[in-house]
Amino acid sequence: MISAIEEVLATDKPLRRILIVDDDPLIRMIVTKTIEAPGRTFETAGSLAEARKAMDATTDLVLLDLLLPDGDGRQLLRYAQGSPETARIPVVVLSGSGSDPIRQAAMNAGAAAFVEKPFDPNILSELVDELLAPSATAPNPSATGSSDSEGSHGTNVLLAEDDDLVAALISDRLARDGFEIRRVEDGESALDEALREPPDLAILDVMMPKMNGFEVLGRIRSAPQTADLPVIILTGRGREEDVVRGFDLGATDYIVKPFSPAELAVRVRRHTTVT
Amino acid sequence: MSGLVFAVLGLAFINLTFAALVVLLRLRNVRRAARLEERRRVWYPRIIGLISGDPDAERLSESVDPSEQSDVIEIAWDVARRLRGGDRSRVQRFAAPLLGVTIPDLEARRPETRAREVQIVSCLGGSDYEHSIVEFLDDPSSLVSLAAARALCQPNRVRWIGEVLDRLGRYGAWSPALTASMLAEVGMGAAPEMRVYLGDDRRPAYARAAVARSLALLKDAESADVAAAQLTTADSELVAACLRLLAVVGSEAQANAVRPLITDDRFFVRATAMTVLGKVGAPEDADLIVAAMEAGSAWIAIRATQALADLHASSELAALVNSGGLPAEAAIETLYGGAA
Amino acid sequence: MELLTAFNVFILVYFALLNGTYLILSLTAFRSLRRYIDRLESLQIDDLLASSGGLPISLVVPAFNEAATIVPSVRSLLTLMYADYEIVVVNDGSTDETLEVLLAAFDLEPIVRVPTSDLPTAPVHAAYQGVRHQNLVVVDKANGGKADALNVGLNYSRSALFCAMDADTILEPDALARVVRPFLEDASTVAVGGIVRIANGCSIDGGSVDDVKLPDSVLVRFQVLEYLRSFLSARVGWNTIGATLIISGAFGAFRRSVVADAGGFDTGTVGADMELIVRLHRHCRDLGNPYRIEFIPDPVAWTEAPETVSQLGRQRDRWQRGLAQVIWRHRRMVMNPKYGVPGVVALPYYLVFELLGPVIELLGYAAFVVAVITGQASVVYTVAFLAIAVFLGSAISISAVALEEISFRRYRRFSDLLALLGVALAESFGYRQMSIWWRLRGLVAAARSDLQWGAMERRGLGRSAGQVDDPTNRDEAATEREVPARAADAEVEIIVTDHDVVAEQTVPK
Repeated sequence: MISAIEEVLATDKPLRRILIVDDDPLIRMIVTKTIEAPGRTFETAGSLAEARKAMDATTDLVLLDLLLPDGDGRQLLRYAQGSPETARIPVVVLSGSGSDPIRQAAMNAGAAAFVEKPFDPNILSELVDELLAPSATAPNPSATGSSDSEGSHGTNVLLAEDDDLVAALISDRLARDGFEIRRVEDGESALDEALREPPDLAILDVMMPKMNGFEVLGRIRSAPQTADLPVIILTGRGREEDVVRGFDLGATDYIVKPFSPAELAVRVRRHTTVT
Repeated sequence: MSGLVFAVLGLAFINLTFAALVVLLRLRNVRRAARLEERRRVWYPRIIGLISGDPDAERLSESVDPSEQSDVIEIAWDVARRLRGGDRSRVQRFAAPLLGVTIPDLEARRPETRAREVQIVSCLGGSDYEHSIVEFLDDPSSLVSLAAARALCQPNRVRWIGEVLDRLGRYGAWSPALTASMLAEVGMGAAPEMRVYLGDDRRPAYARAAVARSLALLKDAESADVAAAQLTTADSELVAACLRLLAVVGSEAQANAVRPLITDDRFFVRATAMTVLGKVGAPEDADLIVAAMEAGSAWIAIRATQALADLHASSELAALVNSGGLPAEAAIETLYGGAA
Repeated sequence: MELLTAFNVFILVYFALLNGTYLILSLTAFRSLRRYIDRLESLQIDDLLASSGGLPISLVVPAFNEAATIVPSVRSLLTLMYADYEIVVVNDGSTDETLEVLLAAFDLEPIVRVPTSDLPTAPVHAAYQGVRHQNLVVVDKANGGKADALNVGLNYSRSALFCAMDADTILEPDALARVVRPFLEDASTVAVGGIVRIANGCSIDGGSVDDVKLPDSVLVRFQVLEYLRSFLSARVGWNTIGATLIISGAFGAFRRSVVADAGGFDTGTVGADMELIVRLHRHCRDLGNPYRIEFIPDPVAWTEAPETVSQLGRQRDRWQRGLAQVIWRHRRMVMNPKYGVPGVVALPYYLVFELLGPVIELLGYAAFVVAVITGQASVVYTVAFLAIAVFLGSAISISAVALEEISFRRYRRFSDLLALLGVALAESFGYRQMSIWWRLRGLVAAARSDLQWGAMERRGLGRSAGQVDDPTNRDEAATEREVPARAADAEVEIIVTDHDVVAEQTVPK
């Protein structure tokens, strides 16, 4: 704890406050040890009541067990969503059961991620890193459509990708996080779909048949109904010029292939959540 | 007569049999494809599920039937290739126990099989197999050597860049664009060793030229001085490659080394030097450039006018526009982006 | 009598050699094709291309009276999956609204573009560039024929590589990437040809082929089979021994500096596509430079085949004339060890079996019929003739279908497979004979115009007829046109820099 503060004093970076909510002290310790890092400080809570007291605007991340002595972990999620300063806090749900209904319920209640116990320490660690990372370089345009206070539930994502496997990797990941995916295989369909029924966010592969991602992006930006649509472009490795061109055309963010579906999911969430 | 008929029928029968064999070939292919499709239908979602957080990579590996192992490896490879970092590690963890079935291919007789296996272990095997992959750099087949080199040219394998550089002489037949982009995949971590290689005159010139290209792809600013130092070597390809590197990362510091080259004997050295001078030169160089323009050469004219544009030498360009002929056309093209 | 017998024996030997060589080519192709596909797989080509920073390439598209189809064609060319390419459409003095239609559809603005090579061509009027598509350039010139238009395209393109194609060729999205790969792997590569497939019968959606099927027309089915045999058996086979002599005018990629150095496309011959390749072999061997010319079967271009007998006949007639001109022009190379396998093996084969083949085959059939009718045909002879001349030919066609089956399998439908096999069985019983007739006509026409061969040698006035080496010349009204004499030969001195930069310097003669 002391070294964390020293680190902060040395670098002027703000301390990241992480709240771990679990009634089992062993789990609390294991989780803490797993994601311990300079610049992070931890608090623990053993029940809903304690968690409600500990969580406030300065909390940066919550790790939450669903099974608590005085209630269901989802109640804490709803509590958090109830107030703007706590609504933005990412909550990672840790659960002993990974069954789909439970996972879905957690995501619907506003969880940022769902990790099944026993968890893979690397996975958890990487996930926490990602969730705590400062936000992406591009400014966050306001999401179109409905307010997103319920997290990703019902958020509509248009995915334009001709490679079936990449599309499957992305859809699977995003669907588990509660997003609704519409997938198209080429640029022409992407443009048609985006204009016909504007999504909340679009993911465009740069290299696609019939019309490439840049052209689609350009046209999306010139159409009034999609001018502010958040767009993430997928580029190949070593194609710096694609990234630059993408931003010139108005892309919101970019992902380089080979990629990490988890990271993409985090960015999608970030760009579809009203801050 | 009947013998004749018999013989002709016999011939026709042979042809029909042949045709029937092709039909059987199709049937076999269809059956194989169906089986493969079925396996894909089952395993792609399972492996994709692993990425998204389904646990139990080990249990999943255990459930792979020996007969489907090589198909599953193929699928795992296909998925892992598209991922990186932690996600790729998940697939690697899943595939590790299964790799045994394809490892013998590393010693197959056919280079295509070896090359493929090198890529599989490179992607699915993680760091365990790196030492063997380094050995494959010396494989007698250049296909396998290429596979090994590409496998090692990854950002997380930067420690092997020296080994790859040592064998660059082997890849002289390739387009330097290919070699250069392969090296550039390693990222900036490789730049220090590449700079040393570029400056080492014991190394083959064409390999050094490829390294120069690679440094240009990486936009490595610190290699400008090394590049400038090579401009006096005899090998034209190396000189041209270093000039192009300077076009990307050069500054006024190297202008003196570049300037004399715009009157070099070798045509393309002159042409490339013009381009570089436009980027690193001083406004006074505009006169030099105009003087070096040649009557008959379109390339020189284009490069020269672009260099003048880079130097913001608007009055010289305007003068050229009015001068007529090739220089005028080139100047117009440069100034107005081609618009007449 | 003895003469007739001797002749019959000669015919048998001829057919044995003809079909025997083709059989050897097919067998070679089996091994080679399988290996090639394994090799492609082992390269993980998508990866290579995605990360390789592919070489810039210019697509040169000659267009003559294509107003109806040029816009969709160019649209589809704009969507190819390749990072760095430009399209240079050359309007070859069209008499319809080809140029106007392009100007309107792509918002073209007039530009100044300095040509970077100096191949002599018909006069160029203007150059245009797309406002929204900066990589689309249209060059307007006076009519001069396809070869001339290609040379203009060459002059006005800026990349180290160019791809010569027809205005109505449909390229698959990855065709460019695949055809460029050999240039990446071997810097001495000078020309690469891909496979051309017949689009009739396939459903085409927005400029790309969606569903591959055989057409209903039997005539076109025969052609599908021929193309399979010609590309998968013959070209793969020849390529294995380094004797690729033809790269289709509908789709071929070249290293610009070498083609310019060799003089560009020849406007004086009808078979300009083959003529260029043969000349490239000659040129590179004369210079003693290492070089590679490859045919690879994985990049695919689709083209329309003639649907009527008269169109098809004219096409084959024209191809034969072109072949005659090429072989005559380069007769110095035949059986000349200086020109290696192309000169010693491939060209003689083309001369004896492809060029003179129709004559000998026709005589052979005639002699056979005579012998049978006059009762002089022994059973042995008859059976031997039928076996070697007729059934073996069918077997070779069946093996072409088999080659497709072990490689690309584009015809998914089982009924299509059966239809192809049926056509292969039937080919030697009528279609082949028709083909011989057409080729004979072409050969006679070429022989009769030998007065012009001398003129063509001078590379001065030549005769070309619109899109002459467009195998699907749909312009029925194309007539022979005079091509203006070449401009006073400016000598073009090409210096090849490193592998990708082209540098030329014109030295006025």
